[in-house]
Amino acid sequence: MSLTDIMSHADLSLYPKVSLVLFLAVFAAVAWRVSRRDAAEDAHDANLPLSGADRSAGADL
Amino acid sequence: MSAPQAPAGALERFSYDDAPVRAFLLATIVWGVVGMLVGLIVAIQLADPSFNLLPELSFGRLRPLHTNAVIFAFAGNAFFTGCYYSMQRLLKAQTFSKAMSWFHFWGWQAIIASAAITLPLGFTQGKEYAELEWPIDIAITVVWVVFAINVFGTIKNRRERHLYVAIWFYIASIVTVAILHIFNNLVVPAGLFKSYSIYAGVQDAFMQWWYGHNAVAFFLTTPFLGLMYYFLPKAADRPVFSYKLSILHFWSLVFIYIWAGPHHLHYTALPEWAATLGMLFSVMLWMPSWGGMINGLLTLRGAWSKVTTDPVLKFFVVAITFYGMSTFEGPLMSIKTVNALSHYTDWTIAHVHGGALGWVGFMTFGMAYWLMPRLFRTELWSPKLAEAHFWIGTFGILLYIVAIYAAGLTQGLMWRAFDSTGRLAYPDFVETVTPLIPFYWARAVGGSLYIVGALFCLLNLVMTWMSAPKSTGPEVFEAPPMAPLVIPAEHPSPWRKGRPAVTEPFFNLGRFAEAGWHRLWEALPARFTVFVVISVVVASLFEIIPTFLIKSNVPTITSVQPYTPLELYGRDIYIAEGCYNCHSQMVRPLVAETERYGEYSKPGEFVYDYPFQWGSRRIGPDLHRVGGKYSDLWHLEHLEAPAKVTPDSIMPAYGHLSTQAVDFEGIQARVDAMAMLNVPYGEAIKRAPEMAREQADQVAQRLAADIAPGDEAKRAEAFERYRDKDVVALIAYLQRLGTDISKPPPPKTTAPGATDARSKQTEGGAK
Repeated sequence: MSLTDIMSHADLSLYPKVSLVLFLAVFAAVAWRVSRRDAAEDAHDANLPLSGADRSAGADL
Repeated sequence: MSAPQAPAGALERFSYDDAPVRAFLLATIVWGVVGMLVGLIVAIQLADPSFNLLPELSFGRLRPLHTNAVIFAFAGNAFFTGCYYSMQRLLKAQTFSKAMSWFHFWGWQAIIASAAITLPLGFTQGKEYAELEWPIDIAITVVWVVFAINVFGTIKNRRERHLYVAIWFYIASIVTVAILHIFNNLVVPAGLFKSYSIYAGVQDAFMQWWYGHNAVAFFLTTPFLGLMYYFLPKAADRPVFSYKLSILHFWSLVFIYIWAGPHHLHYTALPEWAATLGMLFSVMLWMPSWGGMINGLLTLRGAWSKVTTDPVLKFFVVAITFYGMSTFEGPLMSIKTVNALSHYTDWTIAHVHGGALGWVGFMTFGMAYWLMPRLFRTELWSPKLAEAHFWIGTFGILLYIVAIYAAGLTQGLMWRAFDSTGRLAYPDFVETVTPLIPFYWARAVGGSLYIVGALFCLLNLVMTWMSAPKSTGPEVFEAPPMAPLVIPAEHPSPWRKGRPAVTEPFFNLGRFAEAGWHRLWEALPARFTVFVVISVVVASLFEIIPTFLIKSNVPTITSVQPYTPLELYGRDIYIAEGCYNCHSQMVRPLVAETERYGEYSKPGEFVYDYPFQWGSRRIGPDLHRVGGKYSDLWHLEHLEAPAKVTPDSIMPAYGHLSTQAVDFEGIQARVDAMAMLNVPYGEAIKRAPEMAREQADQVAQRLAADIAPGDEAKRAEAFERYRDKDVVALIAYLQRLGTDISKPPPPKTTAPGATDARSKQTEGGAK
């Protein structure tokens, strides 16, 4: 039995609903996980664009 | 894990390479003005078809030029501008290779120039936003790979260990666009500027909108979100509102966007499960998209007073607002019942332009005004002109989209209106077009205002550049070398010690909750990129594999046969002229459509359509059942002078098709290419030109008989005039459209040597 036969006999009518539930579950897990990140680390990361990296040392090469 | 600090005295000195950034910025605004002007021309052509002055400048050929110019030239160069500027600062490193940066710049501009030449000449694959022919596609691949090497090389040479969220968006854009571009543009060449997609019909439609939707996602959304996460905090002088929310925003978009493409194909011949899947994932996009919008707007906390005085922040605020509007409306339009009304109408055009003019355009202009003084180390030439640009541009957008929303709703409702006797209230398609003309003029005025604003920006850019100090060397910056990687410690749970192995997953779950591993990824670009690729590829394969493998997706119809060599040539003319920009070939199973056009379209009718031509907009009527509906002479007269046959028609005239000769000998290469795609062409593989000539003579004889029914001499003259002209091939194709389904199945011997599997999986004739 080929993969084509297997896929052709599969009932995909539930496919969207199963996908919806799975991805909402993953979304919730990621949201929960992200909410537990260290606030100090987040503050450091969020300030990267504002850090001194793009401020001139005042001299030309 | 705290941010490691290098010891004092270990600072490294370096400079940034901003010369390519300046060049990309100039290219952005110049190409933006050009692309928008082409857009204005096509808008005026819809309001008044007499503006279709030359075949090369007709609507069908210019509209792809407009879309390609604003997407790949304007938005593409804007992305490269912001990416090269912000990447160096965020990574504290100069771009990996100056030579690669310039190769990228000139290569991309050469690609745009080649598009500007080939599209008006009619060299096109006939797939929206993927029109460019295969040699240009190869060039795009090469330039994109160089861009990717330059970005990842810079990441490798960085001094900042942690990758800021903007860099994640750049990475996702680069790898996903590469995947989309390669797999949607797989073709079999039939010459230097002609090719056929390796996919046909339903599969091609699926691949095209997998590409098309995600081109919006990963060329017009994620790159600009990366720019938003860098330039908005810079302009507001505030860190992003919530870094947590940005992580959620990023991964949700990367996971979800890739599934949503099938919402472009509701009620078509695409399998129902695929369309529903696309709809559900589109609705899910609401959450992360609005999370991103809220994150952007709240970054201005405490800085709202600046918005009143700073044109940069004004542009950003309106851009993010339009991002929110577009990402609310997109999921709404993906709901099947809403889509039944909105699809094929100007509603889609209004939706697209809210996102394009508001989100992409205003993010670009805001970024440009922020960059000008910094890139040229001088004051912005005219802040007042920037302010004027903002107001005139905003008014232009509103005028444009309000007019076109009205046009879309008007036409959509007219298409489905029935009178009290149960008949279509507006049976002639053109009745649903003429009420739109005032809206089209209003759109042209709104678009003109937007272009005037873009010209203000170009003037400001040029004058700021000209007032830049002449003799300054590159600025020098200092930063410590990249800190060593710090791996978060194991979870020191006292409960873990001595527990049986079966409990290990629970402790691993605890580690997952600590989120340390994600922060580790953020410092490991290779691993991060791999996970992005896995997200995109797995999601794609979940839809692609069933679409391609399930036999019942495309039930074969025995009577559906390949196009004859002449019809194939005529189909190529249809594609070259860009007819798909105005005409769909997909009758949806909706009463208003079957009443207007006839039997709804079946998946099995498109198995030889390389590429599919279902279209996405009905500026003119659907053509899938046009075969046999009118005489050959009607088509001839209609193509030569549409308004003479259908008063008030806005279709351009195609008189040049009556003078251009068919390249009969060139047809063989086209048939051979189709044969390589397993299309059962039988004897046409050996004598396609002769077969095409025979059929052309038949069409020309019918035309001549209708043109001069009682005059032998005139009939002979008409026959000679048309027998070798392009218009005959196009008529042959149009007369074939949608007719196979009503024919009896052919005897098995009609295509000797045919080995096509599709003809063996028959399910009987059409019902």
